[in-house]
Amino acid sequence: MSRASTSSGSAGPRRPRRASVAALLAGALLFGGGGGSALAHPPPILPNPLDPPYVPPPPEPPPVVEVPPVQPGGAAGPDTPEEPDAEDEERRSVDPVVVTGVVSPEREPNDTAREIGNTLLFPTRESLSVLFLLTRTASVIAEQQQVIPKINELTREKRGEITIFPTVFFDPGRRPSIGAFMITGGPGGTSTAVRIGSGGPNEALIETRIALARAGRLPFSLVGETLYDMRTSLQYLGLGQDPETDARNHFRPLTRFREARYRHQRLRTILSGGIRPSTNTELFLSTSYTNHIIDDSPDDGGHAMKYVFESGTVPGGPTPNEPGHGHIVYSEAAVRHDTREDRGSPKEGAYVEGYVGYAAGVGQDRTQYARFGFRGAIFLAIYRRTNILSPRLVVDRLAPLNKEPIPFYELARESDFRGFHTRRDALSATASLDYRWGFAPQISGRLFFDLNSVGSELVKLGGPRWAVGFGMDIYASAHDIGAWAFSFSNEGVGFFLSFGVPSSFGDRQHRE
Amino acid sequence: MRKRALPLSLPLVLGFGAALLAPACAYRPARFADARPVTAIADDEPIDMPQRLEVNDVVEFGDLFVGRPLVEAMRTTRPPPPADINALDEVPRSSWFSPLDADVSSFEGAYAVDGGPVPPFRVLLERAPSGDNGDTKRGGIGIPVVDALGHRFELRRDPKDRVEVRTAAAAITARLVRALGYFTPEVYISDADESDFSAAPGEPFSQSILSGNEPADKHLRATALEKMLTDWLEAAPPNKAGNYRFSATRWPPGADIDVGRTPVAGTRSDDANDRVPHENRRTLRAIKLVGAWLGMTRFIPQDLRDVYTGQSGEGHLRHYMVGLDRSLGTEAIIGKRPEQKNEMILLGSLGFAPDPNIPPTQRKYEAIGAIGEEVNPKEYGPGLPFPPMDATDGADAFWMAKRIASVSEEMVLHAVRAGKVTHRTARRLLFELILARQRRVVEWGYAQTTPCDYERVDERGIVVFDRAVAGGFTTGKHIEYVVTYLGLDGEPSHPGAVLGPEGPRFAIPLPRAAFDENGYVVLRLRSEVASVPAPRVLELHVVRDKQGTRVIGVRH
Repeated sequence: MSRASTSSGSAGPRRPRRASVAALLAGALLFGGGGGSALAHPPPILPNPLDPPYVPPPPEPPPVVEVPPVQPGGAAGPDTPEEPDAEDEERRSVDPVVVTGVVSPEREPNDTAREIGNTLLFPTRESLSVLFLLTRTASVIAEQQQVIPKINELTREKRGEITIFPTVFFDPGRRPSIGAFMITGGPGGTSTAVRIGSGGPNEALIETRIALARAGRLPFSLVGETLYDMRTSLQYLGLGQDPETDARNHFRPLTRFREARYRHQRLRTILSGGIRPSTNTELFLSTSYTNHIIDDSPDDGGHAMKYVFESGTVPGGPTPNEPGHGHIVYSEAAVRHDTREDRGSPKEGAYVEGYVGYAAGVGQDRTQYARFGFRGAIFLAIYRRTNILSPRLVVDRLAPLNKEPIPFYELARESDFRGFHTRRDALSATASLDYRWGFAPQISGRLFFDLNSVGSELVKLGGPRWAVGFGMDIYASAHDIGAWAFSFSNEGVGFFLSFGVPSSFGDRQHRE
Repeated sequence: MRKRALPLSLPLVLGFGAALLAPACAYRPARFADARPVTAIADDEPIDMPQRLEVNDVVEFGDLFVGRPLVEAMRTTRPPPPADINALDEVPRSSWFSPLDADVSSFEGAYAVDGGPVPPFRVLLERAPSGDNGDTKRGGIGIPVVDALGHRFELRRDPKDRVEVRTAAAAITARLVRALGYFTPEVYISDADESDFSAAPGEPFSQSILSGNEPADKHLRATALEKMLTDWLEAAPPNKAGNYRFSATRWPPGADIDVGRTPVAGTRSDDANDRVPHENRRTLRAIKLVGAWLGMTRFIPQDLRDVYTGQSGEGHLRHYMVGLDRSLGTEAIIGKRPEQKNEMILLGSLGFAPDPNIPPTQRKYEAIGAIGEEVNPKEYGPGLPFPPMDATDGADAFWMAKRIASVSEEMVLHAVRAGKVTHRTARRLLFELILARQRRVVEWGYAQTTPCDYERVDERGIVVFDRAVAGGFTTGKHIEYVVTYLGLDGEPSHPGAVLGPEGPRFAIPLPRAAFDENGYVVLRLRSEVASVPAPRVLELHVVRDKQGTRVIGVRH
């Protein structure tokens, strides 16, 4: 049984023998004359035919009419009566079934198997589809970030109704997290947002934001936000670049573990405001109040802090009898200068940011410290404008303002380091070299090399840890949308995946 | 009481199941209704004016790059055939596609409804979406103005170092795409001096395209308007006479109202006339060939926009292709994006692979973008994922190749003249480039299927016309046509034949024995050029009864 497909050359019917043709066709093979050109293609180009006065090129054979001249449904045959006039009238319909004229569609031999597979995948496919297709007329996500709109963004986006955007994050050392981000656009530059996410038991996040951003004579933004999150199986190795040998860490004797795990719950409120006094410069003021609860991770019994470290030697950590509590107000002033045209795509420019902050405990929490730091990068084009080499330096410093130790969760982490985030101390410095190159619209590749070190002060920075890796970024005109990367370091291989608006934007208020 | 299972053996069950499924696993051709083909789609019924539809970049890109590929990867069924084609495999006239059917002498009259802009121009504080490519520093963002006749235009400049390249491309391409049958806005090349422009805040305009973010403060509005005009004027210097050359895009056309983006997939829920998911529209699938022909390096979903035409409550939507100033290789020049780069090579070379296909003309003639004679539609891709193009098949390519072939040399000449390129040699080269690319794209389109069109039924059988032969694309090659006859059950109803005609037009015999008891036969024709079979067949559905013999369905 031969089968033929309209879409496959290999599935065609067996080729008939030519010998049978002669008898079959019997002199009716050709229609004389060969006809004119069906293609209104020109002969070889005449020299400079645009020079006035214009002489039309030689006449072409008329193109064949697109719709065949004989109306089917009444085509002339040897015994066919004359076409009625009504046949020449326009026939209209909007129903696709009527328009296509197909009463029953073509079926290929493997269609049944395809439909069975399609049915089996229906629940998963439609769940994903609903998640994505719920996206609706949008607001400006930029205004939900700590970024002040530029004047040229004034009329680029129409504020809409509701946007729901899925989020997926995967960092080494953390459980994967999925969730959704919903923004409701409002009049006059206002917007509200709700983000929820979960990575399984004891992993939850809910966040709400209200933002007002205007791009007037002096563009500004005001953001108020609250967050509750609970993360578990977080790692604490102790202070310093080499915690096992750092004398400030008091490991319990007779334990083989050098890595404690804990659960961290935060309830945080942030108020922030910013202005853009010039096109590339932003000034921020922000203050936050955060309530911390630190206790043992439910599923990591042997790694509880009380089993790894001597009791009471981890500031802010849980005691054998009760969780650690913290109540901290942190205020910060920051200035940022960014000459890049936008932050999503690989673009030339330079970026520098400096900040100074003050933290104080509330109630029985006697924490008091100052935080200051610097972040700078330059973005250099190589060979193409979209091939960008960018060296970067990030320095974060904490200085206690009284004799109380700083809770371990407030210490400086490995900002922008793409290896494993396991070190913390009063000072952190990260140097990195990135190379990004756009290879497809809205997609760029990335190679990176990072060095990081932490220490109690500059002269005590330990030997740096390194991470090298590659990945890809997807971005909109001004925003990152998603990224993945593999990171190789002397501690192992890590995989990063993010899709959606990340929870932290690199500022200190949203730090981990 | 416990029931006892029936003593059915597994082989018996499997055999029974296989017997049930066997018919479902067999090939079965489509069946067409015995009716006249639809020649116009009635999608102009009155609807309420919909809300303007705009999509956030972040949301849309996330959907295009991640969401849709994930969802579609889990869809195992074949892509559906286009649903905006009639029984003859043609696209009927609709709000998406409406050929002017005008020769060159009457084309401009049919294309130009409102005519060019008339100074003075008052700048409007709003969006200019008909070609917004975000290139603020090089004049890419147009300024909306209202002219002396009260018409809204969007004016765009050229980059400083590429005088005339973008403006000419906009005017030329708008006409050529309109000649294909798509709706495009009117685009004119014009110039004016600084005194012709006013940045004074004025009354809202009926066709304004507002975002809701515009400042209400009068001083802020005046400042923003002044800045818009200044930036626009400074995008490129004036000519020797002190005039600023620009392209003027009439948008929205006529008295129509812009209602935002055309969704790239699915339908508009607020348009009852929108019955066909957009990814299933041949008009959109076939843009692949248009983009290849006209060097639309950065065709993006934003380049499709809808307008509401008619009085509120009595009108309907019409669908336009905009953003035409990014064609003819202009974006490749301005954005340094090669016309047909290979993403994988760029990825593997860390972005250091040299730009392919950059012709020497683009360095010598400022008015010509990075566009060459060589073009391979197979490699053409849009600037962003465009779901309809993912489904482009050989039939779509053949249809568009016919449309492109129908654009005459005179029409191309007319369009090039409308671009008002001042350099004579550049003008001629542009003309030649467009024609050369036309021929290559058409040749490629014809090669995607058996490029024969049904013409009529006569006493010898069905007369068909091979466009590739007629176009001279197979000259010197041996051509044969394999004919098979199928019943509606997919079984051969008659021994087939191999035809070896001379010339493009020939008849396919219709033996009476080939028809089934209902007088229906499916005739399949596959061309073989130099013994290489065409990837797709021409399928003709023929009915014979007392009224005669007629073709009721055509598919490629």
